[in-house]
Amino acid sequence: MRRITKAAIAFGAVFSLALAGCSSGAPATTPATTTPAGTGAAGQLPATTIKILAPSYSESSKTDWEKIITEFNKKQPNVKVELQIEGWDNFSSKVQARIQAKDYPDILNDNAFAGAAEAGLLYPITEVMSEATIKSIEPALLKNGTGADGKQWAAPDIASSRLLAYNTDLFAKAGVAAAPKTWAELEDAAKKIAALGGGVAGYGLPLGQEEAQVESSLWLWGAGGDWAVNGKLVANQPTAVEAFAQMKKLVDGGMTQPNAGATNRQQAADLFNNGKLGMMLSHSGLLKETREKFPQTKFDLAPIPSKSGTPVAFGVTDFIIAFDNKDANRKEATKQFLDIMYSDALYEGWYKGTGLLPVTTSQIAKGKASDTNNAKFYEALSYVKFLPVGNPQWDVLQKALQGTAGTITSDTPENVLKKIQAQVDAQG
Amino acid sequence: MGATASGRRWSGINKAPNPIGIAIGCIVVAAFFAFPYALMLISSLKSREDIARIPPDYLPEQPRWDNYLTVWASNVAPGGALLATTVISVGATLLVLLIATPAAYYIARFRFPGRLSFLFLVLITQMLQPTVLAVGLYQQFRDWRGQLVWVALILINGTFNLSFAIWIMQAFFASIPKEVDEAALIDGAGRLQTMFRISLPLVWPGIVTAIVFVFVNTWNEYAAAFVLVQDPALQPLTVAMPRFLGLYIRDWQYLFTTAMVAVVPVIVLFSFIERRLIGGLTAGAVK
Amino acid sequence: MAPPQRRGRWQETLAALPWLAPTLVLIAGVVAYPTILMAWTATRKYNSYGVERGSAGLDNFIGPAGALTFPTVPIPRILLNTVVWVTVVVFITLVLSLLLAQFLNKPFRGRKLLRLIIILPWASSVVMTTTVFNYGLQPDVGLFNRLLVDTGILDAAYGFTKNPTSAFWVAVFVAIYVSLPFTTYTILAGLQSVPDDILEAAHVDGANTVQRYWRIVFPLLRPSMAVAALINIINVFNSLPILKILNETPGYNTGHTTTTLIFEYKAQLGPGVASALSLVNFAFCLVVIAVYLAVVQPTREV
Repeated sequence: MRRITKAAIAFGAVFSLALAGCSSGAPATTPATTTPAGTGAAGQLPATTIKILAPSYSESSKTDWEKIITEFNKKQPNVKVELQIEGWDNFSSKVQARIQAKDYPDILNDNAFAGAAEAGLLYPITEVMSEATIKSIEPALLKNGTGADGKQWAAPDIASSRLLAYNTDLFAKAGVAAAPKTWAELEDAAKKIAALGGGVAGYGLPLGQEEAQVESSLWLWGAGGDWAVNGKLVANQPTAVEAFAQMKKLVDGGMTQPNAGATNRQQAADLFNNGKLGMMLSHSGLLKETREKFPQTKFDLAPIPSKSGTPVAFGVTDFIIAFDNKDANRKEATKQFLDIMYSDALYEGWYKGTGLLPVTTSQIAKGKASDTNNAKFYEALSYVKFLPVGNPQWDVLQKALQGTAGTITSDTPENVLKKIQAQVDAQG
Repeated sequence: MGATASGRRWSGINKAPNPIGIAIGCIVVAAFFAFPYALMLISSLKSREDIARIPPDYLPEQPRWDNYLTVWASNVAPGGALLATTVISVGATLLVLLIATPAAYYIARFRFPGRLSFLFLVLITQMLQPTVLAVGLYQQFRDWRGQLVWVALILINGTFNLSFAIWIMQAFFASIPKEVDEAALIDGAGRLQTMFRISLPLVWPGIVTAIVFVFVNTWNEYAAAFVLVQDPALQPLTVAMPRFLGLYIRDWQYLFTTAMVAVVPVIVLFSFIERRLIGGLTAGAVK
Repeated sequence: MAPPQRRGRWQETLAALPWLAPTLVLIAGVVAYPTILMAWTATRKYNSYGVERGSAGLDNFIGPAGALTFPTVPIPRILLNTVVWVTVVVFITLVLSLLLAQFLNKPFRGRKLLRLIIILPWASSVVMTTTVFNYGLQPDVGLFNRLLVDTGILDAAYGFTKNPTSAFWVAVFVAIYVSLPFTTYTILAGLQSVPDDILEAAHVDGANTVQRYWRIVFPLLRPSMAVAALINIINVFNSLPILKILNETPGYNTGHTTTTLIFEYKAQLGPGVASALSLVNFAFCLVVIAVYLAVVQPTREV
């Protein structure tokens, strides 16, 4: 008996010593390989490989990318394109692993870029896209890919805007005449709808992991505030307290769905689709599902209410970013690939597969004309406001919001914001 | 917990079990272990509308058996993923058997300095967190492209499952009296031969337990495969299946369909191997 | 081959080497590098995106954003959760498995089918089993919740997975559930080596069932049970998916164990802090196992 304990402890000690010994000097860098530019005379690149890492927007995402690859390979048969598609749920941990291992994809499709840009890992996107391609992107959306330093680090690839979706049948039943414009009207409508009973909730408030940052930003903007105060992102500020107090009021007043602090937008959408929710902030992707699969649910769209009644506009874009792998051939291949990707012929199929809205001016014009269902979302695209994704500070604040904003259901607004601020400060 | 109350009645070793009691026990145990999979089955037969219905229906309005066909043609291609998972699981199981058996045998038969340290070292591999180790594994194996990535996963899964195999097999080997071996050795057989010819057949239950353990763990492994496999066509099931859950379009029914299909090979393997576990050791073989 | 006791100590170890070498090579080849890298990572500063930012000293452990000191994280509660998690899951699993194994060892019709049903939680992967539980327990689309309401057990659907405490206990249930097949089978395999004639002999002597069980069967089961428990402790300690899938409340809530906290840190604070906590976790596990080995001595019979 004593023997095994001793052996165990001795071994543990040796093992941890060994680990400690290694930690002081283990090199963790990969040598950067620099190859001179070797563009062939015929415009064909020599044999090389570029890597793409992208999330799966829908089941068709893989095929959507493969169509572009096929087209690209017609032009550049020597360039091998390695496509990696991953589910959304763990996508950021996949990206983190690749970055940590210093194995950078040449093209990454993601919703953040500031951290990589700040660390100097990226090409400015203008270096890997032709001027014509850059120009084809709607300027209001392109702006969202600008870093804190003013450089264009990322190019949006799909966009979505948010609007208030409301169930017209429930509004009629509850005797609410029009979509709410102010917080007071929203409260009133939500109260009346919740009073209908039968498991119907007034307002869908998804403060779970997935969208707490979106929902809390919208309420902050609705209160007339902004996360940025004197060039710095601040969580614990009076306007934010006001915004969080308003969210809490809805929760405490029984005007939202149950478990607001652990609800993701999809779950709120499930309620909405089944006619169990009066209103929620929604987007074209979710409502496409409502239209196709739950036609009995009648709804309309309205601007997002605010405290004063001035509508809040909110937009999100995902991005294409290109990592600097210190290889001129790969860079050139990346450039040609992206130019093909954003070409009208291929981009149309690609963006449609995502279920979201396009970013190129020509496709936006085409969509506006043909896609009447999403007319209001298209309209909103031209004046939307974005989260401060270009600011590396936002990564920190966003994660603190995602983890902690939901505790508003059981804590005071002041305390919740204090906790969020403490988490942000600790990482400062 | 249903099994507790009902199970207790048969915890003794009665020679003539009460048939009614047995029947009730069977039903309770079966229900307890099947109910989540009943939900899985029902859900796999629902349409996308039905799967998000509030309140949910107990049974789908119209069972969508075609889910089981359409899922194969989907972009997630569970067929290829099933193949990947099978190759990796079989490979890792064979690797572990090949490596753990001699180690376990020797550990059980001999005492030598370093024996306990060895056993403990093996145990430590089980204690490490794959979530955090995954990045290191990725750096180590990232040039193993194409099907080689399966080999990498076989090595990784094999290594992380060695500990149980060695520990359990050594416990079983140790339960065979030394005299059994020694008789064979005197007859002129080598150690290795003795192990294979004499000892192995006597420890079948232990070997089968190890096989099933390694196989099932590899079948379910996620962390390493997630980080390592780049090519979607080579992904094993655990990594491929979440792709059914897109950002806005979440095909739960296909996820459950694939999960149902994935159960079949394990159950088939088990039904073959189970005979060994139960019948492999005759009562008289060990004193 | 010469009897081992005649050789010198070094020679004994040397003689063992050919038998153990493949294992050692595999461990050195696969595990050593990632483990060392993890320890190294724990001393480096990273942002949440995975970009390295120089040395961190001990900041990843006890700095302002350290694993043990990050604000708003209920560390004592999480440590307590971890202990409760491991002891409750392993203990109940062992007890239930013992009963199940006894039952399955009886000869009766349909025994084979029942044995196959029992491995379902194992065969269909921990992640999928947990996902089904999560789906069934959803307050709106979940059938388990509807069933509980329809049978009158609940007045209204309850968000089991939406509250850290209830999610934790659901996770305990599911963890036991998915550990049962493995443990039951390990014990069942052990039961095969209890020869019938031993039981017969005891029966003739007039020992009653319970006595017979504790005095004769239990000691014979000890080796396989001890190993099963050992592996279970480690696996349950390191179990991530069950709690991660079932506890839907985001952030540093009271439903975490140290293992799920590692994952949470990895996402919010990056790999440095996650590795630091992982090392702490590893040391913690090492202590638990050392205590277990000292008390249970699974190699005693050898």
